[in-house]
Amino acid sequence: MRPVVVAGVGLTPFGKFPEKTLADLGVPSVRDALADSGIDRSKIEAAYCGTALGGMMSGQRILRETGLSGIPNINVENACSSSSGAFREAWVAVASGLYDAVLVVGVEKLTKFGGGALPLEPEDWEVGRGMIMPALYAMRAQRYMHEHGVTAEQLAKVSVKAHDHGALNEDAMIRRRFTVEEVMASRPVADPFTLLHCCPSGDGAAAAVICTEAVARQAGARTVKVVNSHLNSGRYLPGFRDMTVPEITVRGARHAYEESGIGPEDIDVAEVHDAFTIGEFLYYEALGFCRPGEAIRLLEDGETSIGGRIPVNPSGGLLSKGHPIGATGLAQIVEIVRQLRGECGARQVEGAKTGLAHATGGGISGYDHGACSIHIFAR
Amino acid sequence: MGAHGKEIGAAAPAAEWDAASTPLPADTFARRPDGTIALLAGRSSMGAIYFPVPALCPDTLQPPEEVVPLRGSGKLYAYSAIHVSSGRFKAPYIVGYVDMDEGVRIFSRIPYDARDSLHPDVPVEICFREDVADPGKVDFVFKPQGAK
Repeated sequence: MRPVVVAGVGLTPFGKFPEKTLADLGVPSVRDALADSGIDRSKIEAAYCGTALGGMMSGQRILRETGLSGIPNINVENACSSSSGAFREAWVAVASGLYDAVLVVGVEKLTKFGGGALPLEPEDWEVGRGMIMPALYAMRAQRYMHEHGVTAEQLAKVSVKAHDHGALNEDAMIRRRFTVEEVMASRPVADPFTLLHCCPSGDGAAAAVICTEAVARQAGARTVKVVNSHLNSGRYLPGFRDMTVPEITVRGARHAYEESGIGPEDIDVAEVHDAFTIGEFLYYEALGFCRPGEAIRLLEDGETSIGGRIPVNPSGGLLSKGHPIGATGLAQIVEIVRQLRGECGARQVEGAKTGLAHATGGGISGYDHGACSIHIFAR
Repeated sequence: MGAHGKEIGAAAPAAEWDAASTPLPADTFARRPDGTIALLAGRSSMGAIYFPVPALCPDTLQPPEEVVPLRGSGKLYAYSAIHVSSGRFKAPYIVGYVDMDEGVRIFSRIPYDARDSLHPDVPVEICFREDVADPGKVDFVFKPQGAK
């Protein structure tokens, strides 16, 4: 495998845009990523489009509007890991020598469903009996609280931190701060979660141009290295499983760290999958930022806030920035690239040299999660 | 019970059918001679247990060596009261994971009026529901053991 770099990124701000088409959402991010890279469109040899619910030919609908039609396009569906999965496929293609420069785009339009919990696959046993994603995470939270003596008010502090960060991000869907009391007083969704324990669903897109070092150098791009690209799927566990330990993320992190020679102590900034407040606690521990049961201390000590030892979700995360699921994984990567290039203004993690993006998702019976991607970047 | 093993477990009372009930596939339960019902799990030749009974066990890629009628009791691992409606599931309703005595985890609903008796690790039991108008339609919920 040869070295691969991110040469350019773009992001369509997250929000609710029911009047826009999927292509309307995707095109600005692609245009911005191409311009950011300085690479001429004629050099882009293939495209990879991640979307969970965008429908058939999502990538082709965007390529048509961006002058890139005719090149190979691969549409990737992997729930919340769709666009990070697309990024992984793009990385494989460049690293293996198949292509020298490719486009990745992640896009989703959830307003077309009119709101409410994310539509899951009804043929699944649990979904057919009333499962929704907030309830799945709520049960993880309840068990974590039971085993570690954490309260719902302490979980609410994750939301407070996320919105503190998101208030600094002009691309975030929610740009106001909340107190613990406001989080707890928002309307109930799935006990112990209130609305502000849950990410808002919405619309948005992200894009990246990735290529060889030679192509980037020729274009004069400000590059970030892809140090590791890891993707795995859930392990079916029909018996008892510990829902306070997300096995797919634990396994993915172990592999990513082993493959890259980088450990959790080397990560300067991380974007993790905080679809619900408990997510940050589970993933702090699964990614090795602290030991099991110590997530609350990490949070309350300010270590995961901007200015702390390991800032997590400086973008505002899914809780504040929003969660158009097919766009989320790549949007996390966009944030890490911008952080490593020192472009994040008021939410900049000073001196960040190494960053990690983690996207996991897919509610399926018998799995912790269906898919998980972990990417490590360095400047 | 025929090929589905020996008769075990206490009789479970049939409760009222409701709009959110989900008819069980016919191969997921069996009737005992006294008319009560048991959920069925499949055990592979390697000893792994699966619910519902799979056509092929993932660990052996063979049909289950044994179909096991579940006694119907277990411990509540976690639950959540849901306050947003989802399709035919009208809020509020409760869902939970139960670790059955036989070693398999099952997800299902829990009656909302049981909410004050719920906490992680509380013993629970299966309560079957039958559609009075169509006795072939069967569903189940979990209730705290001893609850009416």
